[in-house]
Amino acid sequence: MQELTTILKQALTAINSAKDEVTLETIRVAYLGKKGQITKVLKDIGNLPIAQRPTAGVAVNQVKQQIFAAILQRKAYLAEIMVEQKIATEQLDISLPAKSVNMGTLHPVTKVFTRLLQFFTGLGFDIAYGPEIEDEYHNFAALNIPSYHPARDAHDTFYFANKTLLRTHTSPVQIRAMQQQQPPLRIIAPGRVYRCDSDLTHTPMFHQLEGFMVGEDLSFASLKAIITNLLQVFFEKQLAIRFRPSYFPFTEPSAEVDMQCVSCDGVGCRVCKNTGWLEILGCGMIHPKVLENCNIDSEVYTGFAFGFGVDRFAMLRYGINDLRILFENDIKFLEQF
Amino acid sequence: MKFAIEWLRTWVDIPDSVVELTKQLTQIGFEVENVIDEKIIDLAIPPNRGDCLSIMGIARELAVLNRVPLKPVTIPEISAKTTNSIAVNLQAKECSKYLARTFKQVNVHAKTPVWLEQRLIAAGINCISAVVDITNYVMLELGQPMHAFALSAIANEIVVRPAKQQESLVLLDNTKIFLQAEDLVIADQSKVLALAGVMGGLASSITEDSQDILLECANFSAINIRATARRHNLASESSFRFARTVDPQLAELALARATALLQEITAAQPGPIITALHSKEQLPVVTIMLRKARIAKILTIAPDELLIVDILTRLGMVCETVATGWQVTVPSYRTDLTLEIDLIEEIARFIGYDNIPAVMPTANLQFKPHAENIISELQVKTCLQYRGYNEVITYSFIAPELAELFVAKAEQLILTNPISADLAVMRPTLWPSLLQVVQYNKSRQCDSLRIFELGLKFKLDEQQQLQQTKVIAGLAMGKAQPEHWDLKSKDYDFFDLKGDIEALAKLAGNCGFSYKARQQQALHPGKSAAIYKGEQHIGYLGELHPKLLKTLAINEPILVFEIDFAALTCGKINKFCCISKFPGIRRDLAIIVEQQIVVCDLVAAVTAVAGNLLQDIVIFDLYCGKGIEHGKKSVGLGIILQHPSRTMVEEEITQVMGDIIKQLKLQFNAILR
Repeated sequence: MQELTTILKQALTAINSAKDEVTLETIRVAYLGKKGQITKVLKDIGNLPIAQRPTAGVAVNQVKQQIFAAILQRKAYLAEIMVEQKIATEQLDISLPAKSVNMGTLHPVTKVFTRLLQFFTGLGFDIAYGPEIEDEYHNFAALNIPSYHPARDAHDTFYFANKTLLRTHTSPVQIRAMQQQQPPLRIIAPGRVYRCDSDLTHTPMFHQLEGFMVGEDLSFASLKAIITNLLQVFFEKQLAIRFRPSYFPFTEPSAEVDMQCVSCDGVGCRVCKNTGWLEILGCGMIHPKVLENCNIDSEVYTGFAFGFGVDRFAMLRYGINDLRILFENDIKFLEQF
Repeated sequence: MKFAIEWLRTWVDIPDSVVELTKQLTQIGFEVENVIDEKIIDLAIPPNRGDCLSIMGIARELAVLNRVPLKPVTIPEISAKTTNSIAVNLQAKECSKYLARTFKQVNVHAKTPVWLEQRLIAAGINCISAVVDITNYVMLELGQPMHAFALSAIANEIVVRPAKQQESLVLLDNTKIFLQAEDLVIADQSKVLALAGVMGGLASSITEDSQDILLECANFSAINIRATARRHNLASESSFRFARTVDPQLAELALARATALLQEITAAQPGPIITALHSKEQLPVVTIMLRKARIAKILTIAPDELLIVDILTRLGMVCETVATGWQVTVPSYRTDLTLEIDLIEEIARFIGYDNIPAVMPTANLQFKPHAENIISELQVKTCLQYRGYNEVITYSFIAPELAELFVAKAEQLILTNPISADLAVMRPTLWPSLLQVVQYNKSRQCDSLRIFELGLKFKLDEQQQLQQTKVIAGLAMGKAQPEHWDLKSKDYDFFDLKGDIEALAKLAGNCGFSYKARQQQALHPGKSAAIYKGEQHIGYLGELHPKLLKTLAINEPILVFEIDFAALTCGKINKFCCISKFPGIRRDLAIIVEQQIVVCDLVAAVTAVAGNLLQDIVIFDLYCGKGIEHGKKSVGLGIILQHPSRTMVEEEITQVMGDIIKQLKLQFNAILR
């Protein structure tokens, strides 16, 4: 079957030089189509002597398969080439700016609150919220701060005509919680507070986090441990912490807490006025009168409470040097967080 | 309180090193605010320690800490050199004790000795004249305020009484005050001489010509003096000390000290001591039971009993041992000690807070219940953050003029003592505060903004009851996307905002908000909507009213929303619905209807016809203009039908579509395009 070999050779040459699918299809038709060469040869087998027909048939079919396979292969190959060519033309400048990043920001005070809340809920503390417009009882009297008490000077309070006021601390939330729940308690109260004070380091509205625990086995040692631990995990540093006696009408013993300056590690700098220490919070054992005001037996239960300015924490944590920036909401500031 | 360190040294042995002294004072609770030149120290005295507003008071404390006695300071009793006396008439219970002493032939021109002057200057007190300087000196040294009157100015007697209405007094600083019935005054037979415990009057003050003086050394009620000083907006070293309680037993000592100094420096001749007491009764002595067990419970340490008694005794207490601890009698100058816990604090102070261990408390493990359908503040904030918003925090008070643009005056909550006139009203919505952030940033080259805030809004309702409601509010203005090489510039519009609201609805458990027209004085009536969750009205969104923007000199559209936080965050727990295994088939319709037909009505009509065969409707086109009749619009509806349990056949689909078209024609006069 000389003819067959030649046809195969021709076919394969044609196939292997085909440059596109259309050409390949033409070749297929030319060889394997209704009027194709191989088809013709297959037909011509009928003119052969019967004894030779099976062998011939096998041979022709073999060639048919070979050509068909070659076409498929070439097709695949061409497809691959086409993809690679396409890829070669599709070169992006990947350094161009992205679309629709759309990632906004949370206010740094919110971030600090979130972080603090995480630590406390991790210890099983509940979070309590309360009204911002309070009455004198919850803001002062229940906390052992009677109307004539000198400690009231420190709280310059915003009042309304009907004697209600803007809360000066989140301690009223503590009172409300103790009035509604029986010990053991562990609660934090975050929120906005208001004082009639406005200068370089004070704004008329700021943020506080108060926390307290009431139980049967709580002591000054418990308070020291909670505070020390909190400051060290919040600032992620084994900071030196100092407790010194102070006075609050609602705690006894009372303490003010200083921590090693995070700006200079206690060496002394502008932030800590060269003392190496930063005054960071106030705390103490809850005064028995406060417990009694909430119908909690102060013989059976003791408790401790602490409170601090969250804006200040944010300033120390993120290196913000001016309290008022937090409330100006300059987009160039907000975008940094 | 400022004072010279060398003065303190004359009362008690203290460390040579100022650094060490500072540490000691800090340890016992007196915050050192400043040290000047290693010579002058400025301490913050806690408000309940009136007994420490003097050199003697501080010395006492340091003596306890260092376990040393106070240095022997002799204050001699000086007997009268004249018989010159005056009647003192106590007519008010607010004055428990009034000591007076006349001094004759006082040399008012005597020069105040340098050592005395220096100590006054170190304390920040001006030197005025020998007599006044001496009274100030003794006040600083012992803590007892005193006042010197020109004896010639006093008519007949001293009366300590409440002021009468209409009485007035010209004070030492030449200001005139009008007195009220709650004010305590020092008067004579005919006129008011001084505002007791606060400030003397000009008319009875020592002058160049004065020869005889009357020295007042009295005790006034802390509550009264504090209220009086506040009422008249006055503050003096004297009122400061009385407001924090002066020990009534101090008067005799102070008078003796002042007498000695007056005699020495001004050659004054003292008369007899006149003592007037409001009540003959002794002040009750305070005794407190201090239990050993309680000390151990609060401090977790059990200090040596001898140490405890030593500390308390040095502090001036008398300790009587009993089975469970001690009965402790408190000295008259420690009015801050009334309870057992106060004594425990004293022990802790002098042992040192640093010597109390830190021990983490223990508690039983317990899962905290958490309702799945309640969404947290953080989740809501994060949702907006991820949609490109920046969170802001603004003051809760705004200017009255700004408040009026948003709510009627009758509903406003006004502060009686705002920090400034433009922070006088509690904000009735968060929008005015957000607008201020806009104005701040616009004037700093920022022309696009998307901000939100979570906070309270404050209003009085119809019954004049206060409502303080937590809301989440947002504002958007400018370009929807920052300038970009491949994105077309587009302004942020109502439907972008609606997208943010719909995202919040989805966060809240696929709430399904609906939007209806509703009057809101701050919003553009045609480009705003009230947001509803079912039947409940929960907020608003839309463009601010052009009139409002004009008033605020803002010349571009501003979009805002505000939603009640509680309503938003109360979602549903998901409930699974079966998914159909069969394909949906989409048929598109373009219909022409009148302009004022709203899309939700068209959707409702299609839904009514198709029933549960309707899987979804897509509004894929909205067009008016060329080719559409004026006053009409073309709406493209993509209707996707699906049968829950089989594939739909062509006839069914055609039937449903036919019914839909018929209904649209009937209800809305819709014409197929």
